[in-house]
Amino acid sequence: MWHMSHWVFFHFQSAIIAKNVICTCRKVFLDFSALDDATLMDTIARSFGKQPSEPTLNAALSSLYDRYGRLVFSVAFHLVGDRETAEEITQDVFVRACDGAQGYRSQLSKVSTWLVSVTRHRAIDELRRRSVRPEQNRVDWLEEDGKKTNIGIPAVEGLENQIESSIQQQVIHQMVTNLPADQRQVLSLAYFKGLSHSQIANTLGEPLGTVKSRIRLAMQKLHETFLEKGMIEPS
Amino acid sequence: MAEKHVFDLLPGYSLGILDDAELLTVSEHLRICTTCQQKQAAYAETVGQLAMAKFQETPAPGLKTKVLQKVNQAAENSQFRMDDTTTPQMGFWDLLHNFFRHPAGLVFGLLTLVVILFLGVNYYLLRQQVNELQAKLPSGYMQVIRLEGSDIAPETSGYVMVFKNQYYGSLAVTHAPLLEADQQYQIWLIKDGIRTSGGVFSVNETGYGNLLVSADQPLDSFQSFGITIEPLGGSPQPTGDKVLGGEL
Repeated sequence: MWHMSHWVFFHFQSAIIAKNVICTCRKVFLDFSALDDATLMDTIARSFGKQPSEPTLNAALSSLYDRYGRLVFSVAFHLVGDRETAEEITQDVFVRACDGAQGYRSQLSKVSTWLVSVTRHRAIDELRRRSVRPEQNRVDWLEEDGKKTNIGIPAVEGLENQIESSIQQQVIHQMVTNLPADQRQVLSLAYFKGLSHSQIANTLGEPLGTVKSRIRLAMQKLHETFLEKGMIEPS
Repeated sequence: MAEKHVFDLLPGYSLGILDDAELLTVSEHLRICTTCQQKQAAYAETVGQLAMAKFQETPAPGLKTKVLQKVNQAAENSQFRMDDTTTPQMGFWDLLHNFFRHPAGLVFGLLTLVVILFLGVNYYLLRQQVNELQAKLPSGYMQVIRLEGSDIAPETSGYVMVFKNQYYGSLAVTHAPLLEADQQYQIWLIKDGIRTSGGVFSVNETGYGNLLVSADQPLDSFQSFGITIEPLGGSPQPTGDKVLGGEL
Protein backbone atom coordinates (compact mmCIF):
# COMPACT_ATOMS: atom_id res chain seq x y z
CA MET A 1 0.00 0.00 0.00
CA TRP A 2 1.42 3.41 -0.91
CA HIS A 3 1.97 5.93 1.83
CA MET A 4 0.45 9.40 1.59
CA SER A 5 3.80 10.90 0.67
CA HIS A 6 4.06 8.60 -2.34
CA TRP A 7 0.69 9.70 -3.59
CA VAL A 8 1.45 13.40 -3.10
CA PHE A 9 4.71 13.02 -4.98
CA PHE A 10 2.99 11.10 -7.77
CA HIS A 11 0.30 13.72 -8.00
CA PHE A 12 2.66 16.64 -8.40
CA GLN A 13 4.90 14.80 -10.81
CA SER A 14 1.88 13.99 -12.98
CA ALA A 15 0.77 17.61 -13.03
CA ILE A 16 4.23 18.82 -14.01
CA ILE A 17 4.54 16.21 -16.74
CA ALA A 18 1.09 17.01 -18.08
CA LYS A 19 1.86 20.71 -18.19
CA ASN A 20 5.15 20.14 -20.02
CA VAL A 21 3.48 17.87 -22.55
CA ILE A 22 0.77 20.42 -23.24
CA CYS A 23 3.27 23.28 -23.60
CA THR A 24 5.37 21.21 -25.98
CA CYS A 25 2.32 20.33 -28.04
CA ARG A 26 1.36 23.95 -28.26
CA LYS A 27 4.82 24.94 -29.45
CA VAL A 28 5.19 22.12 -31.92
CA PHE A 29 1.75 21.67 -33.32
CA LEU A 30 0.02 25.05 -32.93
CA ASP A 31 0.31 26.86 -36.21
CA PHE A 32 -0.81 30.47 -35.81
CA SER A 33 -1.05 30.93 -39.52
CA ALA A 34 -3.99 28.54 -39.51
CA LEU A 35 -5.95 30.46 -36.87
CA ASP A 36 -8.81 32.72 -37.86
CA ASP A 37 -8.48 36.43 -37.19
CA ALA A 38 -10.64 36.46 -34.08
CA THR A 39 -8.70 33.61 -32.45
CA LEU A 40 -5.43 35.28 -33.41
CA MET A 41 -6.49 38.50 -31.73
CA ASP A 42 -7.61 36.60 -28.67
CA THR A 43 -4.20 34.90 -28.48
CA ILE A 44 -2.49 38.28 -28.71
CA ALA A 45 -4.75 39.72 -26.03
CA ARG A 46 -3.94 36.88 -23.66
CA SER A 47 -0.20 37.02 -24.22
CA PHE A 48 0.52 40.75 -24.51
CA GLY A 49 2.27 42.08 -21.43
CA LYS A 50 2.77 38.64 -19.90
CA GLN A 51 6.46 37.81 -19.93
CA PRO A 52 6.28 34.01 -19.96
CA SER A 53 4.10 34.22 -23.10
CA GLU A 54 6.54 36.23 -25.23
CA PRO A 55 7.13 33.39 -27.77
CA THR A 56 3.37 33.04 -28.16
CA LEU A 57 2.94 36.78 -28.66
CA ASN A 58 5.71 36.94 -31.24
CA ALA A 59 4.32 34.00 -33.18
CA ALA A 60 0.78 35.40 -33.18
CA LEU A 61 1.94 38.91 -34.02
CA SER A 62 4.08 37.57 -36.82
CA SER A 63 1.02 35.91 -38.35
CA LEU A 64 -1.00 39.09 -37.96
CA TYR A 65 1.72 41.12 -39.68
CA ASP A 66 2.00 38.60 -42.50
CA ARG A 67 -1.71 39.02 -43.14
CA TYR A 68 -2.13 42.75 -42.79
CA GLY A 69 1.26 44.38 -42.56
CA ARG A 70 1.27 45.40 -46.18
CA LEU A 71 -2.26 46.77 -45.97
CA VAL A 72 -1.44 48.86 -42.91
CA PHE A 73 1.74 50.18 -44.48
CA SER A 74 -0.06 51.03 -47.69
CA VAL A 75 -2.86 52.93 -45.98
CA ALA A 76 -0.30 54.88 -43.99
CA PHE A 77 1.88 55.54 -47.02
CA HIS A 78 -1.02 56.73 -49.17
CA LEU A 79 -1.86 59.32 -46.54
CA VAL A 80 1.53 60.59 -45.37
CA GLY A 81 3.43 60.17 -48.60
CA ASP A 82 6.82 58.97 -47.32
CA ARG A 83 8.00 55.47 -46.48
CA GLU A 84 9.87 56.30 -43.29
CA THR A 85 6.85 57.86 -41.64
CA ALA A 86 4.66 55.08 -42.96
CA GLU A 87 6.97 52.55 -41.28
CA GLU A 88 6.76 54.40 -37.97
CA ILE A 89 3.00 54.50 -38.25
CA THR A 90 2.88 50.80 -39.08
CA GLN A 91 4.87 49.98 -35.96
CA ASP A 92 2.60 52.16 -33.83
CA VAL A 93 -0.51 50.61 -35.31
CA PHE A 94 0.58 47.08 -34.42
CA VAL A 95 1.51 48.20 -30.91
CA ARG A 96 -1.96 49.72 -30.55
CA ALA A 97 -3.49 46.58 -32.02
CA CYS A 98 -1.78 44.40 -29.41
CA ASP A 99 -2.51 46.81 -26.57
CA GLY A 100 -6.14 47.07 -27.62
CA ALA A 101 -6.61 43.42 -28.54
CA GLN A 102 -8.56 42.77 -25.37
CA GLY A 103 -11.12 45.35 -26.41
CA TYR A 104 -11.45 44.06 -29.97
CA ARG A 105 -14.86 42.56 -30.76
CA SER A 106 -15.00 40.39 -33.86
CA GLN A 107 -18.77 40.75 -34.06
CA LEU A 108 -18.44 44.51 -34.61
CA SER A 109 -15.83 44.55 -37.37
CA LYS A 110 -13.25 42.51 -39.20
CA VAL A 111 -9.65 42.73 -38.09
CA SER A 112 -8.66 44.30 -41.43
CA THR A 113 -11.32 46.97 -41.04
CA TRP A 114 -10.23 47.66 -37.49
CA LEU A 115 -6.59 47.95 -38.48
CA VAL A 116 -7.40 50.25 -41.40
CA SER A 117 -9.35 52.48 -39.04
CA VAL A 118 -6.53 52.61 -36.50
CA THR A 119 -4.03 53.30 -39.27
CA ARG A 120 -6.05 56.12 -40.76
CA HIS A 121 -6.50 57.78 -37.37
CA ARG A 122 -2.81 57.49 -36.63
CA ALA A 123 -1.76 58.77 -40.06
CA ILE A 124 -4.17 61.69 -40.01
CA ASP A 125 -2.96 62.58 -36.52
CA GLU A 126 0.54 62.65 -37.95
CA LEU A 127 -0.54 64.90 -40.80
CA ARG A 128 -2.26 67.29 -38.42
CA ARG A 129 0.73 67.26 -36.09
CA ARG A 130 2.91 68.30 -38.98
CA SER A 131 0.25 70.63 -40.34
CA VAL A 132 1.36 69.67 -43.83
CA ARG A 133 -0.13 67.68 -46.64
CA PRO A 134 1.73 65.39 -49.00
CA GLU A 135 2.85 67.36 -52.02
CA GLN A 136 2.23 64.66 -54.55
CA ASN A 137 -1.33 63.76 -55.31
CA ARG A 138 -0.12 60.26 -55.86
CA VAL A 139 -3.33 58.54 -55.10
CA ASP A 140 -6.67 59.03 -56.71
CA TRP A 141 -9.19 56.66 -58.08
CA LEU A 142 -9.18 58.16 -61.56
CA GLU A 143 -6.64 59.75 -63.80
CA GLU A 144 -7.65 63.05 -65.29
CA ASP A 145 -8.68 61.50 -68.60
CA GLY A 146 -11.14 59.25 -66.84
CA LYS A 147 -9.24 56.04 -67.46
CA LYS A 148 -8.95 53.55 -64.71
CA THR A 149 -5.77 53.63 -62.75
CA ASN A 150 -3.09 51.06 -63.29
CA ILE A 151 -3.73 48.45 -60.70
CA GLY A 152 -0.06 47.63 -60.35
CA ILE A 153 1.29 44.74 -58.35
CA PRO A 154 -1.55 42.93 -56.62
CA ALA A 155 -1.56 42.79 -52.86
CA VAL A 156 -1.38 39.00 -52.53
CA GLU A 157 0.62 36.25 -54.12
CA GLY A 158 -0.73 33.31 -56.05
CA LEU A 159 -2.34 33.47 -59.46
CA GLU A 160 -5.91 32.95 -58.27
CA ASN A 161 -5.59 35.54 -55.58
CA GLN A 162 -3.94 37.92 -58.01
CA ILE A 163 -6.84 37.67 -60.38
CA GLU A 164 -9.43 37.93 -57.63
CA SER A 165 -7.73 40.92 -56.09
CA SER A 166 -7.37 42.59 -59.45
CA ILE A 167 -11.04 42.08 -60.19
CA GLN A 168 -12.02 43.38 -56.76
CA GLN A 169 -9.98 46.50 -57.26
CA GLN A 170 -11.52 47.12 -60.65
CA VAL A 171 -14.99 46.68 -59.23
CA ILE A 172 -14.34 49.16 -56.46
CA HIS A 173 -12.83 51.58 -58.92
CA GLN A 174 -15.98 51.35 -60.99
CA MET A 175 -18.18 51.93 -57.94
CA VAL A 176 -16.29 55.08 -57.06
CA THR A 177 -16.44 56.23 -60.66
CA ASN A 178 -20.18 55.89 -60.61
CA LEU A 179 -20.50 58.33 -57.71
CA PRO A 180 -21.60 61.84 -58.57
CA ALA A 181 -18.58 64.07 -59.19
CA ASP A 182 -19.20 66.31 -56.18
CA GLN A 183 -19.45 63.33 -53.86
CA ARG A 184 -16.36 61.72 -55.37
CA GLN A 185 -14.44 64.95 -54.93
CA VAL A 186 -15.18 65.43 -51.21
CA LEU A 187 -14.62 61.75 -50.56
CA SER A 188 -11.21 61.90 -52.23
CA LEU A 189 -10.16 64.89 -50.14
CA ALA A 190 -11.31 63.14 -46.98
CA TYR A 191 -9.98 59.71 -47.85
CA PHE A 192 -6.65 60.49 -49.48
CA LYS A 193 -5.68 63.70 -47.75
CA GLY A 194 -7.37 63.27 -44.40
CA LEU A 195 -8.87 66.73 -44.51
CA SER A 196 -11.50 67.48 -41.89
CA HIS A 197 -15.02 68.59 -42.81
CA SER A 198 -14.18 72.24 -42.21
CA GLN A 199 -10.95 72.03 -44.20
CA ILE A 200 -12.78 70.48 -47.14
CA ALA A 201 -15.45 73.14 -46.88
CA ASN A 202 -12.79 75.87 -46.92
CA THR A 203 -10.90 74.24 -49.78
CA LEU A 204 -13.97 73.92 -51.98
CA GLY A 205 -15.74 76.98 -50.76
CA GLU A 206 -18.78 74.95 -49.83
CA PRO A 207 -20.95 75.08 -46.70
CA LEU A 208 -19.94 72.70 -43.89
CA GLY A 209 -23.31 70.95 -43.88
CA THR A 210 -23.06 70.33 -47.61
CA VAL A 211 -19.67 68.71 -47.21
CA LYS A 212 -20.90 66.45 -44.43
CA SER A 213 -23.96 65.52 -46.41
CA ARG A 214 -21.98 64.68 -49.58
CA ILE A 215 -19.54 62.50 -47.69
CA ARG A 216 -22.39 60.69 -45.98
CA LEU A 217 -24.23 60.13 -49.25
CA ALA A 218 -21.07 58.87 -50.95
CA MET A 219 -20.34 56.45 -48.14
CA GLN A 220 -23.94 55.24 -48.03
CA LYS A 221 -23.95 54.65 -51.76
CA LEU A 222 -20.70 52.75 -51.67
CA HIS A 223 -21.89 50.68 -48.71
CA GLU A 224 -25.09 49.72 -50.50
CA THR A 225 -23.14 48.75 -53.59
CA PHE A 226 -20.67 46.71 -51.58
CA LEU A 227 -23.61 44.90 -50.00
CA GLU A 228 -25.20 44.20 -53.37
CA LYS A 229 -21.96 42.77 -54.68
CA GLY A 230 -21.52 40.65 -51.59
CA MET A 231 -18.26 42.37 -50.70
CA ILE A 232 -19.62 43.26 -47.29
CA GLU A 233 -21.78 41.09 -45.09
CA PRO A 234 -24.99 42.65 -43.74
CA SER A 235 -24.67 43.70 -40.11
CA MET B 1 -35.31 61.17 -32.94
CA ALA B 2 -32.61 61.88 -35.50
CA GLU B 3 -31.10 64.71 -33.44
CA LYS B 4 -30.36 62.23 -30.68
CA HIS B 5 -27.96 60.45 -33.03
CA VAL B 6 -24.73 61.53 -34.71
CA PHE B 7 -25.44 60.19 -38.19
CA ASP B 8 -23.80 63.14 -39.96
CA LEU B 9 -20.53 62.63 -38.13
CA LEU B 10 -20.25 58.86 -38.46
CA PRO B 11 -18.76 58.81 -41.99
CA GLY B 12 -16.16 61.32 -40.87
CA TYR B 13 -15.46 59.24 -37.77
CA SER B 14 -14.89 56.17 -39.92
CA LEU B 15 -12.60 58.15 -42.22
CA GLY B 16 -10.70 59.53 -39.23
CA ILE B 17 -11.21 63.13 -40.22
CA LEU B 18 -13.17 64.51 -37.26
CA ASP B 19 -11.65 67.25 -35.18
CA ASP B 20 -11.06 66.69 -31.46
CA ALA B 21 -14.39 68.06 -30.28
CA GLU B 22 -16.38 66.06 -32.83
CA LEU B 23 -14.33 62.93 -32.08
CA LEU B 24 -15.09 63.22 -28.38
CA THR B 25 -18.81 63.72 -29.08
CA VAL B 26 -19.04 60.69 -31.34
CA SER B 27 -16.90 58.47 -29.09
CA GLU B 28 -19.09 59.24 -26.08
CA HIS B 29 -22.27 58.72 -28.08
CA LEU B 30 -21.12 55.39 -29.53
CA ARG B 31 -20.70 53.99 -26.03
CA ILE B 32 -24.46 54.15 -25.49
CA CYS B 33 -26.15 54.13 -28.90
CA THR B 34 -26.42 50.77 -30.64
CA THR B 35 -28.04 52.32 -33.73
CA CYS B 36 -25.05 54.55 -34.33
CA GLN B 37 -22.71 51.67 -33.48
CA GLN B 38 -24.23 49.61 -36.29
CA LYS B 39 -24.07 52.48 -38.75
CA GLN B 40 -20.49 53.23 -37.77
CA ALA B 41 -19.55 49.57 -38.25
CA ALA B 42 -21.08 49.70 -41.75
CA TYR B 43 -19.11 52.83 -42.64
CA ALA B 44 -15.94 51.30 -41.22
CA GLU B 45 -16.39 48.27 -43.47
CA THR B 46 -16.81 50.58 -46.42
CA VAL B 47 -13.58 52.41 -45.59
CA GLY B 48 -11.88 49.04 -45.19
CA GLN B 49 -13.01 47.97 -48.66
CA LEU B 50 -11.75 51.24 -50.14
CA ALA B 51 -8.37 50.51 -48.61
CA MET B 52 -8.32 47.11 -50.29
CA ALA B 53 -8.96 48.75 -53.63
CA LYS B 54 -5.74 50.69 -53.65
CA PHE B 55 -2.38 49.69 -54.96
CA GLN B 56 -0.63 48.17 -52.00
CA GLU B 57 2.89 49.32 -51.38
CA THR B 58 5.45 46.72 -50.33
CA PRO B 59 7.14 47.63 -47.07
CA ALA B 60 10.85 47.07 -46.50
CA PRO B 61 11.70 43.50 -45.42
CA GLY B 62 13.07 44.74 -42.12
CA LEU B 63 9.80 46.36 -41.08
CA LYS B 64 8.45 43.12 -39.63
CA THR B 65 11.42 42.85 -37.26
CA LYS B 66 10.95 46.46 -36.21
CA VAL B 67 7.28 45.83 -35.51
CA LEU B 68 8.07 42.79 -33.35
CA GLN B 69 10.72 44.69 -31.43
CA LYS B 70 8.48 47.65 -30.80
CA VAL B 71 5.60 45.47 -29.67
CA ASN B 72 7.87 43.50 -27.30
CA GLN B 73 9.16 46.74 -25.85
CA ALA B 74 5.61 47.97 -25.37
CA ALA B 75 4.70 44.64 -23.80
CA GLU B 76 7.55 45.00 -21.29
CA ASN B 77 6.44 48.51 -20.42
CA SER B 78 2.90 47.29 -20.10
CA GLN B 79 4.04 44.57 -17.71
CA PHE B 80 5.95 47.08 -15.59
CA ARG B 81 2.90 49.35 -15.50
CA MET B 82 0.76 46.46 -14.33
CA ASP B 83 3.31 45.61 -11.61
CA ASP B 84 3.59 49.21 -10.39
CA THR B 85 0.03 50.43 -10.42
CA THR B 86 -2.66 49.26 -8.09
CA THR B 87 -4.71 47.63 -10.76
CA PRO B 88 -7.66 45.67 -9.58
CA GLN B 89 -6.57 42.15 -8.75
CA MET B 90 -8.54 39.18 -9.85
CA GLY B 91 -10.58 37.72 -7.01
CA PHE B 92 -9.82 34.28 -5.63
CA TRP B 93 -12.72 32.68 -7.47
CA ASP B 94 -11.74 34.41 -10.73
CA LEU B 95 -8.20 33.06 -10.35
CA LEU B 96 -9.53 29.61 -9.60
CA HIS B 97 -11.90 29.79 -12.57
CA ASN B 98 -9.07 30.92 -14.85
CA PHE B 99 -6.77 28.18 -13.52
CA PHE B 100 -9.19 25.38 -14.22
CA ARG B 101 -9.96 26.74 -17.70
CA HIS B 102 -6.39 25.87 -18.69
CA PRO B 103 -5.85 22.24 -19.74
CA ALA B 104 -3.04 21.79 -17.19
CA GLY B 105 -5.30 23.18 -14.51
CA LEU B 106 -8.04 20.79 -15.54
CA VAL B 107 -5.68 17.82 -15.34
CA PHE B 108 -4.49 19.02 -11.94
CA GLY B 109 -8.06 19.35 -10.74
CA LEU B 110 -9.01 15.87 -11.95
CA LEU B 111 -5.95 14.31 -10.32
CA THR B 112 -6.80 16.13 -7.09
CA LEU B 113 -10.30 14.70 -7.19
CA VAL B 114 -8.92 11.20 -7.75
CA VAL B 115 -6.56 11.54 -4.79
CA ILE B 116 -9.34 12.89 -2.56
CA LEU B 117 -11.59 10.03 -3.61
CA PHE B 118 -8.88 7.47 -2.91
CA LEU B 119 -8.12 8.94 0.53
CA GLY B 120 -11.81 9.02 1.35
CA VAL B 121 -12.29 5.37 0.46
CA ASN B 122 -9.18 4.45 2.44
CA TYR B 123 -10.41 6.33 5.47
CA TYR B 124 -13.78 4.60 5.30
CA LEU B 125 -12.21 1.13 5.07
CA LEU B 126 -9.82 1.83 7.96
CA ARG B 127 -12.64 3.15 10.05
CA GLN B 128 -14.61 0.00 9.42
CA GLN B 129 -11.66 -2.14 10.53
CA VAL B 130 -11.31 -0.19 13.75
CA ASN B 131 -15.00 -0.53 14.47
CA GLU B 132 -14.86 -4.29 13.86
CA LEU B 133 -11.92 -4.69 16.19
CA GLN B 134 -13.54 -2.63 18.89
CA ALA B 135 -16.73 -4.64 18.58
CA LYS B 136 -14.79 -7.85 19.27
CA LEU B 137 -13.67 -6.55 22.63
CA PRO B 138 -16.17 -6.89 25.45
CA SER B 139 -17.47 -3.54 26.49
CA GLY B 140 -15.60 -2.14 29.50
CA TYR B 141 -13.89 -5.47 30.14
CA MET B 142 -10.61 -3.95 31.10
CA GLN B 143 -9.34 -0.50 31.99
CA VAL B 144 -5.83 0.78 32.08
CA ILE B 145 -5.43 3.73 34.39
CA ARG B 146 -2.37 5.78 33.69
CA LEU B 147 -0.44 7.11 36.72
CA GLU B 148 1.30 10.50 36.44
CA GLY B 149 4.33 11.47 38.51
CA SER B 150 3.97 14.24 41.11
CA ASP B 151 6.27 17.26 41.55
CA ILE B 152 8.75 15.30 43.64
CA ALA B 153 8.99 12.53 41.02
CA PRO B 154 8.06 14.05 37.68
CA GLU B 155 9.76 11.37 35.65
CA THR B 156 8.00 8.54 37.37
CA SER B 157 5.08 6.92 35.58
CA GLY B 158 2.98 3.84 35.86
CA TYR B 159 -0.32 2.20 35.21
CA VAL B 160 -2.90 0.09 36.96
CA MET B 161 -4.80 -2.51 34.99
CA VAL B 162 -8.20 -3.27 36.44
CA PHE B 163 -10.80 -5.75 35.21
CA LYS B 164 -14.54 -5.42 35.43
CA ASN B 165 -15.90 -6.47 38.83
CA GLN B 166 -12.57 -8.04 39.76
CA TYR B 167 -10.91 -7.60 43.15
CA TYR B 168 -7.44 -7.91 41.72
CA GLY B 169 -5.49 -5.75 39.40
CA SER B 170 -2.00 -5.25 38.14
CA LEU B 171 0.32 -2.30 38.92
CA ALA B 172 3.57 -1.40 37.18
CA VAL B 173 5.81 1.59 37.87
CA THR B 174 8.89 2.88 36.06
CA HIS B 175 11.61 5.41 36.86
CA ALA B 176 10.56 5.65 40.48
CA PRO B 177 13.17 7.03 42.92
CA LEU B 178 15.10 4.46 44.92
CA LEU B 179 14.02 4.46 48.55
CA GLU B 180 15.84 3.94 51.79
CA ALA B 181 15.98 0.44 53.17
CA ASP B 182 13.27 1.25 55.70
CA GLN B 183 10.87 2.62 53.15
CA GLN B 184 8.43 1.20 50.60
CA TYR B 185 5.87 2.47 48.09
CA GLN B 186 2.23 1.93 49.02
CA ILE B 187 -0.77 2.14 46.66
CA TRP B 188 -4.02 3.67 47.92
CA LEU B 189 -7.43 3.01 46.43
CA ILE B 190 -9.57 6.13 46.88
CA LYS B 191 -13.34 6.31 46.97
CA ASP B 192 -15.39 9.19 48.36
CA GLY B 193 -12.27 10.54 50.07
CA ILE B 194 -11.62 7.25 51.90
CA ARG B 195 -8.23 5.70 51.23
CA THR B 196 -7.81 1.94 51.29
CA SER B 197 -4.44 0.28 51.01
CA GLY B 198 -3.94 -1.83 47.92
CA GLY B 199 -0.55 -3.17 48.87
CA VAL B 200 3.13 -2.23 49.19
CA PHE B 201 6.03 -2.74 46.80
CA SER B 202 9.63 -1.84 46.20
CA VAL B 203 11.49 -0.89 43.02
CA ASN B 204 14.70 -2.28 41.62
CA GLU B 205 17.82 -0.33 40.83
CA THR B 206 16.31 0.97 37.56
CA GLY B 207 13.22 2.31 39.32
CA TYR B 208 10.91 -0.43 38.06
CA GLY B 209 8.42 -2.12 40.36
CA ASN B 210 5.19 -4.06 40.08
CA LEU B 211 2.43 -5.35 42.34
CA LEU B 212 -0.66 -7.51 42.27
CA VAL B 213 -3.16 -5.05 43.68
CA SER B 214 -6.01 -6.40 45.76
CA ALA B 215 -8.94 -4.98 47.71
CA ASP B 216 -12.12 -6.11 49.40
CA GLN B 217 -14.13 -4.33 46.70
CA PRO B 218 -13.91 -4.52 42.90
CA LEU B 219 -11.06 -2.29 41.86
CA ASP B 220 -13.13 -0.60 39.14
CA SER B 221 -15.49 0.67 41.87
CA PHE B 222 -12.82 3.09 43.15
CA GLN B 223 -12.49 6.60 41.83
CA SER B 224 -8.75 7.14 41.83
CA PHE B 225 -5.37 5.67 42.81
CA GLY B 226 -2.39 7.21 44.56
CA ILE B 227 1.10 5.95 45.51
CA THR B 228 3.00 7.36 48.48
CA ILE B 229 6.29 6.69 50.24
CA GLU B 230 5.67 4.88 53.53
CA PRO B 231 7.66 3.03 56.18
CA LEU B 232 8.66 -0.50 55.33
CA GLY B 233 5.56 -2.72 55.47
CA GLY B 234 3.13 0.11 54.88
CA SER B 235 0.89 2.35 56.97
CA PRO B 236 -2.80 2.27 57.86
CA GLN B 237 -3.21 5.66 56.19
CA PRO B 238 -0.99 7.77 53.90
CA THR B 239 1.81 9.51 55.81
CA GLY B 240 4.50 10.19 53.20
CA ASP B 241 4.90 12.15 49.98
CA LYS B 242 2.72 11.36 47.02
CA VAL B 243 4.69 10.05 44.07
CA LEU B 244 2.08 8.95 41.54
CA GLY B 245 -1.65 9.43 40.94
CA GLY B 246 -4.35 8.62 38.45
CA GLU B 247 -8.11 8.58 38.05
CA LEU B 248 -10.50 6.04 36.67
